[in-house]
Amino acid sequence: MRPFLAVVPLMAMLLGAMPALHVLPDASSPIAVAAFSVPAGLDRQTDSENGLAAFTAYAILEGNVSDGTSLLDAVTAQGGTISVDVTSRASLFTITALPDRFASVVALFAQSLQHPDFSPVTMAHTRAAVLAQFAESQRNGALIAEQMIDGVQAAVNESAATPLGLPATIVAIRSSNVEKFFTQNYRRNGAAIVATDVKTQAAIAALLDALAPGTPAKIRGEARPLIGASRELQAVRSHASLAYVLSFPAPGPRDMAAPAAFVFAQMLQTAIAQLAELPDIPSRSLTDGAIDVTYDYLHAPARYVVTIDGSLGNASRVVSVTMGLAKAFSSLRFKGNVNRFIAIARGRMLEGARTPTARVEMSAQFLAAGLPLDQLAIFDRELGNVDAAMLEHAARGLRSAPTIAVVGSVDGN
Amino acid sequence: MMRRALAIACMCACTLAPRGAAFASGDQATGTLARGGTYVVQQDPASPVTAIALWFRAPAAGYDGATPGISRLAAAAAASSPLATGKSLAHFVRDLGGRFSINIFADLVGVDALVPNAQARRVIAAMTAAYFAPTIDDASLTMARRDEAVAFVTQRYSLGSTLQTALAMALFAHGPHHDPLLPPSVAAIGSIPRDAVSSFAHQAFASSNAVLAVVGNVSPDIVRAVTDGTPNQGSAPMLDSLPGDEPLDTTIDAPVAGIGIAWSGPSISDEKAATAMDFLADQLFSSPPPHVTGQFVTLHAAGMFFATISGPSANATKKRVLARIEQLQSPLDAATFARLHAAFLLRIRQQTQAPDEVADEIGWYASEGNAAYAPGDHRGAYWTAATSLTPEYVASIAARYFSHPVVVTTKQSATP
Repeated sequence: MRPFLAVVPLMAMLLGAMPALHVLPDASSPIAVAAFSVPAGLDRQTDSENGLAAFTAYAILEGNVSDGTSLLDAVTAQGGTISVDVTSRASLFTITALPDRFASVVALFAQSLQHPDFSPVTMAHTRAAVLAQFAESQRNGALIAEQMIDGVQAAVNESAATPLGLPATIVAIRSSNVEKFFTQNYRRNGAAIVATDVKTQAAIAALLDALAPGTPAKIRGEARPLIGASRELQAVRSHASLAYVLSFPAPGPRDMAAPAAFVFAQMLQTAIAQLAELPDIPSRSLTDGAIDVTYDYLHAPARYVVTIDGSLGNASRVVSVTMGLAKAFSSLRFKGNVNRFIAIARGRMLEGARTPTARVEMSAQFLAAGLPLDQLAIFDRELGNVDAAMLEHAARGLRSAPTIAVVGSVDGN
Repeated sequence: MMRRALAIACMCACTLAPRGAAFASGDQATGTLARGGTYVVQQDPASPVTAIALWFRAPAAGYDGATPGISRLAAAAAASSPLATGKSLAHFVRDLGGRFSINIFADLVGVDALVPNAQARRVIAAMTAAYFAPTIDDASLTMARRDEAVAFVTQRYSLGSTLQTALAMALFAHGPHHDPLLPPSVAAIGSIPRDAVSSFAHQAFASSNAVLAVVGNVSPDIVRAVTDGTPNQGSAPMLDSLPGDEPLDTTIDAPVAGIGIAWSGPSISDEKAATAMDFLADQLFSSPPPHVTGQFVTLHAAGMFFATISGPSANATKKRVLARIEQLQSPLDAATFARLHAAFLLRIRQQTQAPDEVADEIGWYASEGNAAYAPGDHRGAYWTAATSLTPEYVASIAARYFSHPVVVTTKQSATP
């Protein structure tokens, strides 16, 4: 059997020392997928430019490609999809289509990158789209809580790390801001493409050609973990679900303890669920999501995120339990067999890569973070070496007080 | 306590097909299990995880329709009983890094595991041991009752699930879809005796009544891991639900107010018509107005097309949905059809990327009597039907099936 993430650089355009185009051979994929990563992430904007990276990316989608048709609509008419996710380090565009339509969909995107349209009409459509997406995000308590944690980190780092910005900053963005951000950051060096379809390499390569040569602007806000005193953030929304989110510093993906961090997250989740008396039933899908611990290694800086569904009858007690466990685990001398938790961690990690789209997006994010394309396979291999010392190292971040965000609804819940 | 044996691989006399041929990406191997029932293995070489789905024709309210919830109790109890390792199937899968889930429908039970590829063989052995030779003791039944209580509360607070079940009960005059999925109260869960659950499990979960779907980076000989179980009397008949001549509108109590509307649709054997109904559902529900959901449910005898509506202006929204349904009965212009059809074809493929989605679809469509029509087979009958749709044909199907809907209204109750 062949490895699950075999990487064959069928075409490697060398830009500097870094191959920018990668093909993951995936003959079983029912669709063609490409993820295009541009070094235009949240780390390229300042505090006063909150939301600019996302606004610029959405403006490309909303921009005119011909006769008043936006890129988004033109791609849909071709039977494709295009979406964007703005992360700590990159703007990540994902394009999907049936294989026979993929080249024409990619060509539309390349045209938009080569001749971006930041006209007043596009700006108005983009503003409406971003504000609508912001409003939608305010219905999800856990999402709001994560945004609050990102926001406080941004304030400490004097950067602007919330993905969409805030309504006040979104409405203040002008086309000159967008043009400047695009010109400075949508550059060929540092951009990368990962794709499934080997038959349309030329079309995919055109995306890189569409970018101006040179390197992007320097990183504006260096991300540092929040340490020191505990920060507690609260928000109330009219239609949001109740949620508690706790964030603790975690080892970065290049740290030797990174594989152990996956295992530690599972140990913490299991311990919280047991102490919170979550029912142990065979249909775990019914209780999954009530308590979740994630090792968010692609976030800058890396962190453990504990999410507690506020509709749990004893949610505030679960928060207390989590705080107590975090303190205990941070100085615990780990003993015994951790193979069970290694297996669970491996399963959770691998299931996130079970679709061609997920594999392509994940690989592009690895490249954006300066990691090897096959980082998942590396983690998978290294999980087998996790020992007590690595777990203790992975748990060190819990000595720091967490940042806690609580989102409630207007009825006072 | 009885323990079941795991992995009696050498006893399994499964027919492996295709023999001698290379098993390439996307290929399917199908065959018959040693004690009856069918298997489908589909190759997905790039996936790091394998999906294993075991599906059975099993009425949610029992074979007499009088014991709502018995199929979930039986499925959960079988997954909670200790295997030869001393662990239950549910714990065994979890400790190998997998996810285990139980899906109950009016006429079917599906149990799924999603595990790292290296664990697939062991999980197939464990899963077939747990279900093909079920042993249900008091401890596993207690666990199953807890599971069903959580499912009961979850469904009670889900307007979509509540309305979908109520619509099926109103639309179909006979058969499992006419019966409730779960007991009327949490207290009633405890009144179903262990003997009844055990008897149901032995009848429903026999190998001869099973469809085993395995999708991942595996070869067809993985089915040699199947644990045979006990001999059974043969395959179970189809559990058909038939619509009534004039279904009656109803009002039910629920924690949330809402409206459901439904029509009966073509059977699974009318592949092109059923696919046209999926396309119509895609037009209505892929980017629906706020507070509207719905789909076409493909079934053996007659399918169900439904919409659920919630929110403060549910009545006005219902009128808009019905007006849209009326419009669908006229052919779309060529350009609009081409755009929507292209988006539909892409969505079919997007929704069948994950091995667990493909395995579930194989299980569902095979159990409903048409395995070859599962959308996860990208070279199969579904794709042929989907690509052959025309504006005129789709409109004719809408005109044929969208006559008088059945309507269910939920009245907000003071107590859940």
